[in-house]
Amino acid sequence: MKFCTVKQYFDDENNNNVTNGIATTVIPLPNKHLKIKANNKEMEQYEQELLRNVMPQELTKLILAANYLNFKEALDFFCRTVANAIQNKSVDYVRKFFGLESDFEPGEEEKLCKEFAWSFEGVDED
Amino acid sequence: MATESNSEVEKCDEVDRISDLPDSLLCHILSFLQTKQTVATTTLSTRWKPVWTMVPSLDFQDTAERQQNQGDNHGNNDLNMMFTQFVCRVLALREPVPLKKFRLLLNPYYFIDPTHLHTWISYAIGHHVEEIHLFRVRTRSQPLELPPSLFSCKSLKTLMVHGEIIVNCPSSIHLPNLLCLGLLRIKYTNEESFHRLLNGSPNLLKLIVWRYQQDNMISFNISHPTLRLFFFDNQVQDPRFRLELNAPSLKHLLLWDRNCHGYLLHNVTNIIQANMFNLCEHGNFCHCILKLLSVLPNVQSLTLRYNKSLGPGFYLPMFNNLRSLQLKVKCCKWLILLNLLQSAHNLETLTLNKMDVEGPHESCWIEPLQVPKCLESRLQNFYFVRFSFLDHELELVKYILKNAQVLKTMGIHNGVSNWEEEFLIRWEMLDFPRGSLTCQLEFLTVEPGWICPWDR
Repeated sequence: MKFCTVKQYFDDENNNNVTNGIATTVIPLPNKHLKIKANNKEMEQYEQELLRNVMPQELTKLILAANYLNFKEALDFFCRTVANAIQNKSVDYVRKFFGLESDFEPGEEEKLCKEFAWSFEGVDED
Repeated sequence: MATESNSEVEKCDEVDRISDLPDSLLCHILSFLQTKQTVATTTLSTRWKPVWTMVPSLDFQDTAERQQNQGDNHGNNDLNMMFTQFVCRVLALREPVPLKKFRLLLNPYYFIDPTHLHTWISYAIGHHVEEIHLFRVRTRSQPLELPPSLFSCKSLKTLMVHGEIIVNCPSSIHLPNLLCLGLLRIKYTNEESFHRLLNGSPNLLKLIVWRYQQDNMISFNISHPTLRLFFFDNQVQDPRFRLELNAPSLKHLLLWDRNCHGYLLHNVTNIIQANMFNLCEHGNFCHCILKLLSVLPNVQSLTLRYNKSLGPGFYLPMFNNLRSLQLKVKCCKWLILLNLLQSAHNLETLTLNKMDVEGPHESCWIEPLQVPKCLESRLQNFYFVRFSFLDHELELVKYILKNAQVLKTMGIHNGVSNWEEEFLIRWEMLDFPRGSLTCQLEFLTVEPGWICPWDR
């Protein structure tokens, strides 16, 4: 862990993403990671737990924190968790998961679906 | 009042945060998904529309199950056309950012057009690709040749090709950064082509070659200074076959072959892990296996699989560094175990993995005159897969329980489905005298797993 960056992270008053919650999740990560890196099953369980307890919005903050701290393994882990959550899911499901709303002009979305038809072939509806 | 304001606050938190992430981080998330999915995100919202074009990897997997004759939905031709159009469009619309990984996992009903393969690979090469994976390449006529520019791609680190491909390696080959090369079920224009490819990859670490058909090769001369892992699966029966291996940096060797003769290994004393799956049936089998074993004096982990019975009374070299041994053999064909126990003084884990429970059953355990050294001071784990409660098997278990002084785990996996018999014998086993006070006797219901050997 790069301790100078961590200190900077807390000292940086302009960084609006600093909250105690995030710090307590990210900072103990290196140890947890080293411990569970070898065991894939444990990783899966940890990932499930993470998804259950941490809303997508919180996961965003974790990703930003890991990126700021230059902590590659944590960044990959959190990003992969988000990716796994939306894998093979329909566009509607993903929108709901991220709390997104479609802001396309009428007809634009259909055009895109036609243009990339194979992308929408055989996707499960949630 | 309090609840009202709370719900107001919650509503604010519901506002999409993921989209607040910068493009680079959104791309990072998408890089863990197949391209089919990443492109679909273009319809999420206007903010998301262009993100997929900047993802630094392309992973086209057409694995949807199809039938020979598709029903009312799209026919196979339609689906194939949709796939081709998709790939072409993606490549045309993608931002000119570097491409780290390009993977094609094609459908068994998809026959790739040679010009398309060339265009797509050339695109990848033109974008400094580091990994290229081509799986299940099928053509309507001749096997496809890979574009010559591929063989001088400086950025390439991994190349895995599988399917109806023929390697015609040009003399201008130069792959300075190639670390991992997988040639799976492909053909070569001639022997020189293969050897040129190997010599043109001076920093290669992993070489995987699977031969399932005549591929214009008879002799393989694998002489490479940096090679660390070599996985050779040879299903081609040919009495003229020869493989000469000279790899001083080699640490991991996997040899799966029906022809056990024809192998000449030198300068491979650094091998620490060897998996030898030998299904050969001919007479000189014993001699060949011994010849192979004798060049592995420093091996730490050994897996041996064979069909024929190796008799006793032959000379085995000492394996002073052998810590883990797995024997995958047919029922009653593990006579070699005695010799191995006596040659491997430092053995810590032993797995007797029977492939079946078929007869005729004959004893292959003779109690040694002297307790093998590894049992006295080293053996910690013993696993018996497909235990079928035969007398000599019980004798082995009894002997090990009694003499293994530092045994921690003995795992017995049941190979027969007679529950009554199993219950009675389990009960009996619990009473066997144990040389190690800390020994746990476990009855496994699942076979201990086999980890993919080249994911290291």
